[in-house]
Amino acid sequence: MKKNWVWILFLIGIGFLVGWNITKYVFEYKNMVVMAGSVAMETFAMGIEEKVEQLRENKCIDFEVVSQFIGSSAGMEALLNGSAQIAMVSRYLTEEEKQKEMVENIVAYDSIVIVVNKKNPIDNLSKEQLVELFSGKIVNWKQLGGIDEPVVTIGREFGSGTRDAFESLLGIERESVYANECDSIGIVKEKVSLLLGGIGYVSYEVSLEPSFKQESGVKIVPIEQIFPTKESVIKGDYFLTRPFSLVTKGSVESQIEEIQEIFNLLSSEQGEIIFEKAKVVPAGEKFTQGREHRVAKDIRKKGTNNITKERVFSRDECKHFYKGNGIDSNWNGDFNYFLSCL
Amino acid sequence: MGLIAIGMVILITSYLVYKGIPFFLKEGIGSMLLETDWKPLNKNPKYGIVYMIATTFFGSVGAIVLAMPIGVFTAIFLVKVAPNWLADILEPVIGILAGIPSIIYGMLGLIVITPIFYKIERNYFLLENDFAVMPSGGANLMASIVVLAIMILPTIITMSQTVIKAVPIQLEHGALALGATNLQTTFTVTLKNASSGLLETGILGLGRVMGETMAVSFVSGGKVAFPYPFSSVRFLTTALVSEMGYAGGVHREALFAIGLVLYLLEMLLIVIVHQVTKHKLNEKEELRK
Repeated sequence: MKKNWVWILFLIGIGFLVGWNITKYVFEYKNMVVMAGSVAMETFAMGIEEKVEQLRENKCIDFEVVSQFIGSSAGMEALLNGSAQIAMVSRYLTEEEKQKEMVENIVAYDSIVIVVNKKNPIDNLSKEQLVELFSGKIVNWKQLGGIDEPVVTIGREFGSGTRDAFESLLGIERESVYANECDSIGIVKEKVSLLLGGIGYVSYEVSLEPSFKQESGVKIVPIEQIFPTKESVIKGDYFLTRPFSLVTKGSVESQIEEIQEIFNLLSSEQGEIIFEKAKVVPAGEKFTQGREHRVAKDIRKKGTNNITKERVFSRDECKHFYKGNGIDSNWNGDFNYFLSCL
Repeated sequence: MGLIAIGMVILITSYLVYKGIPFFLKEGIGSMLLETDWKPLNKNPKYGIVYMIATTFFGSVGAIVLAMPIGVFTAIFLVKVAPNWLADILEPVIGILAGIPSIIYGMLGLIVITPIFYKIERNYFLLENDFAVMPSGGANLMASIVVLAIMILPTIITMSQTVIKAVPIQLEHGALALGATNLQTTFTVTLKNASSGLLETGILGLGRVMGETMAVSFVSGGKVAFPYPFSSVRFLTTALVSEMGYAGGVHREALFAIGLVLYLLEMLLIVIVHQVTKHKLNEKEELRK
């Protein structure tokens, strides 16, 4: 009989917790910011979503971010007709789009680095050569005046953001030919270092890791004589680069507070974690104006906001959440996270 | 405990069916099992997995064909020929080999076996002006077969040993008494009696090899293509593990459908094992009569 009691208490406990959380979830009013756009920015957007969720759990902000991945152009459409507040676009805006009061806030650059075996004497590749290499028209390094060695193209698997970026930048989505398709950067590196004729691509952030420089057996090839560095990537000189921009209707300053808060988050230390996770180069200066604006503003005003029902902590009180690695998440937050995983 | 095991089986099966069926309802079974193109992210997505099934089939059968003779002869050596002190050393070593995680075999394959196969490929298969065939860089079906065979070998040796030891010693004594040599006895009496057990070993090994993911993900090349021995290929399992991280929507459903197909193939194998075992038991009963 004793055992039964333990079980019943346990079940009541669980039922109480679940019920409480569900009730809380149902009755809680939440503002929503909808971001729609490029599939390539999924990791990045999920990073933002996650951080905003964490901040919300800690009552630093009072809204949630919902992202939809429908493609860059469709995202712009959604922004135009108002079904999204932010469009995630992984290309430069056209002149036509800019005329419609769309402001291109470039937050990061996604760059791709070409690697070959260290013993391969090739020291420069042009855009055309890259296209021919990865579409199977050049099959021996001899054709580029190099060594007599078959070209072994090492690519990534379907769905990889790096592969998507690489192929769309070169315009070879349909005709790419790979000898191997690997499911991780480490394997790409390992294979290129083992094969004299190997050529592969990795994202720029990864190539900065120390393991890429010390006796890795691979070397980075410049495109049109330009090496990928932070400057050349941000300036746009390095060819294999595409911007990640959060397009808004009108400038950031004219947006509602929630949207400004997202830009604010990106320029904080938590933002760096988002960039790091998504393996992109933060654009830095281009949205600093948002940061200065926010710091100067007193967030306590939020307390008088009609929409906000609960007290929202001030910026000063929340300061430590924006810094360092860990956001102190309370137990309740963890449980919500657990529920959302189910 | 038994109930938990049954519950787990029911849970896993129903989960797989629940997750895998929507794809077949949406796209039709033919779109997966009759098509060869795997292009889940194109504008007109293609979800054909015929090449992957063929790869899994040829790869695992090839590995077993390679591993069985070596394994069985090693087992015979250990049981019948080897002096006691040697067997005492070898058996624990083989036991340790069986316990090595499969990813280690994959790494071994990537660093040791792949370059060897690339050399073979370059010297014998890539002719000077033949640019029609894309080099696989050593990561191909043959390399996968070799890695899988090495991986499965310890298991096969241990199981074959048990099977060979289980042959009644009286039968062998009878053969020896009739004047047969040790070698003749082993091949005519022992192996013949152990044959059904060895077949079972082979099929169980096949099941293990078919479900293997990590060992082959490094050495198979990962490109969906017809499984010629020296072409870069992708196994069903590798497809699951490499694309799951990114997949969404129908693509994700397709991956679950692949999981379902793999599960059904394994189930088929298990049914075959049961049939073989039953057959064997019947035979033994007949012998006793």
